[in-house]
Amino acid sequence: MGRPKTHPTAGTAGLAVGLTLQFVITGIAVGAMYGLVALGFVIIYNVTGIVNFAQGTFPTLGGLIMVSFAAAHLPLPLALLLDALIVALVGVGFGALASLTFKGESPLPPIIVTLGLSLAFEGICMFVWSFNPLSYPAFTGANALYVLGAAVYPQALWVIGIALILVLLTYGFFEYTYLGKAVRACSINRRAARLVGIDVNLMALLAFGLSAATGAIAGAVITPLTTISFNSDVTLAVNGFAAAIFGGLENPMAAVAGGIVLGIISTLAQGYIGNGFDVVAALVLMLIVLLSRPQGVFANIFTARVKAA
Amino acid sequence: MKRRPALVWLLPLLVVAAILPRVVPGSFALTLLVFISLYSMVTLGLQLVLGYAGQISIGQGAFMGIGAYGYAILAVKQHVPAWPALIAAALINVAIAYIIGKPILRLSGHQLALATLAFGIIVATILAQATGLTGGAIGISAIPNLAVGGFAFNDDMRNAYLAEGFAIASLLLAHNMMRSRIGRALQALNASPPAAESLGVDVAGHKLHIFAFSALLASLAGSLYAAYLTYISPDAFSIFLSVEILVMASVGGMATVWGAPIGAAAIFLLHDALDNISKGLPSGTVSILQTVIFGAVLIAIMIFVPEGLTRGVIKGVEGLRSSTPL
Repeated sequence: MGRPKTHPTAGTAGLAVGLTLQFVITGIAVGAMYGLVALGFVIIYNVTGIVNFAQGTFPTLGGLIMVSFAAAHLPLPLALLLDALIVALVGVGFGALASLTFKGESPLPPIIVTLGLSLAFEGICMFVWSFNPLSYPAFTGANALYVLGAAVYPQALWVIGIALILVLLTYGFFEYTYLGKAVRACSINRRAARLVGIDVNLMALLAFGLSAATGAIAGAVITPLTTISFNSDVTLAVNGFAAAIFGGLENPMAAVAGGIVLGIISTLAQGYIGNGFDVVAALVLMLIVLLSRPQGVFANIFTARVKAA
Repeated sequence: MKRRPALVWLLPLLVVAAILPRVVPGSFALTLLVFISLYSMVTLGLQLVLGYAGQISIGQGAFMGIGAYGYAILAVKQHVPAWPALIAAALINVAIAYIIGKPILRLSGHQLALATLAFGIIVATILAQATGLTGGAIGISAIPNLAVGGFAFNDDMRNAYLAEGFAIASLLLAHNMMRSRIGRALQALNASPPAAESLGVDVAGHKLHIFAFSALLASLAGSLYAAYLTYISPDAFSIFLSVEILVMASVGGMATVWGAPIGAAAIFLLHDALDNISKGLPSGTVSILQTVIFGAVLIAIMIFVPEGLTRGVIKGVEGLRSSTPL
């Protein structure tokens, strides 16, 4: 997967401050992107206890399907809706297979199954969309806006905006809706949830479907900003993991906030240290957080009462 | 506990190992044999970490990469003789395993899986980016073969024997280790860490030692890999290597050292079979078919034989044996 385009003149601006500002602004968009993937992890993990190693498949599939829809001149809102629906169905399938092997003890079988699913879907995406990185036109305008001399693409604002909307929706769903509370009950105590009449297996499928739909929208909105290809899922999943762990795996808001902070730091690392070090920076931070504050940096800031309720 | 003399299975194993390189068809099959042997060693290390100590690691490929690059850098750039280079690479690996293992092994479950995954990706990125040391994407070539006196392991046949020798020695060592005090402590640890700890088992210490041992096996396999191919590049040690090793361990089955060679052989033969099936198809189709089938096989094994092929077969055999009157 390509990095978001930086404006060609950004590097030659000369002023270190200008360059840093450019990196920070690009970093926020990158971070929102990874925050969206992290959100998908959080939804599934909170409900099923499964860490879905095929999480990168949802945005990849979502982005690639949008490329085809754009080529078929489907209106954008309709295309987004269909995209989310199709990928949600795929997600439900993933959930069914992963749940089949997950008895709540060893986390290994669902890890292997989801790794297998991501491989199989890489193959399928390769078959349908071939090997080349693809993209489609931005939602609104392709020309950069300038903020204090730093280039900002309108599509980056879409990414940030949609990340904010989706995280609020997810938070609202888990906190304020009856269904959301039922879903969350499964994560707190599966047996008790079953005793009060909640269909735990159905809720797991619902979580996978929701997570996949979120992923599809994420893929759809980031693809015009970068490019997407059959094997984009690995980069997306790894950075999404890092964001979710860094921010807090049990809290949607914390995960997205984690994504944005990591996005800024890793874009700076990429710009000032070198190619490939964005991932290294993100993963080193993830390791530090895992070892020193495993609940995540922002877990207690956005108190979602997820576990306390 | 039944004690079977080691010779019962050791003798047939040695006979098969001695004959196999002579009867397999062509140099490609020999290469396959070398790879199966080397990957058995790496997988074996993971088996011990996973099946006995109950710890998930998705970073074993990094140890293999450090073993390969350590050997190559020392032998090619520092002109260290081959065997000392192999040993030095192994020592470096063991030291790294102790240093990162100490904090990381406090984690468990998916947290440990993610931490080791992160370690694997960080090492892979450094191998690809530290151009001055590793040659970057170009890699390192003209790596010397191993040799004993004037006898150089410089063809497929000799390397097949060398790799088999190392793999069998590793299996024997692991097999005996698991029947020793350490092995019983590890099994207790896998069954219930608190129970093991309350009985006086040094849980943290045992996990750390077994992690370091797995790094040692992966390092040796990596060095042998570099010495056999005489050329290495970073894409051989990407995170996919770690995933593939995890897959071999799961397919072979946990908590039995025999799962390692069986898992490694099953995966390499599957790759080979897919290559043969897809002969004549356009090259793009081949990789598509391979990826999809490989993924599907993983899912199927986890659903139908979650304990792995080895356990499945052993169960089947024992079922047959117990049903026949003695």
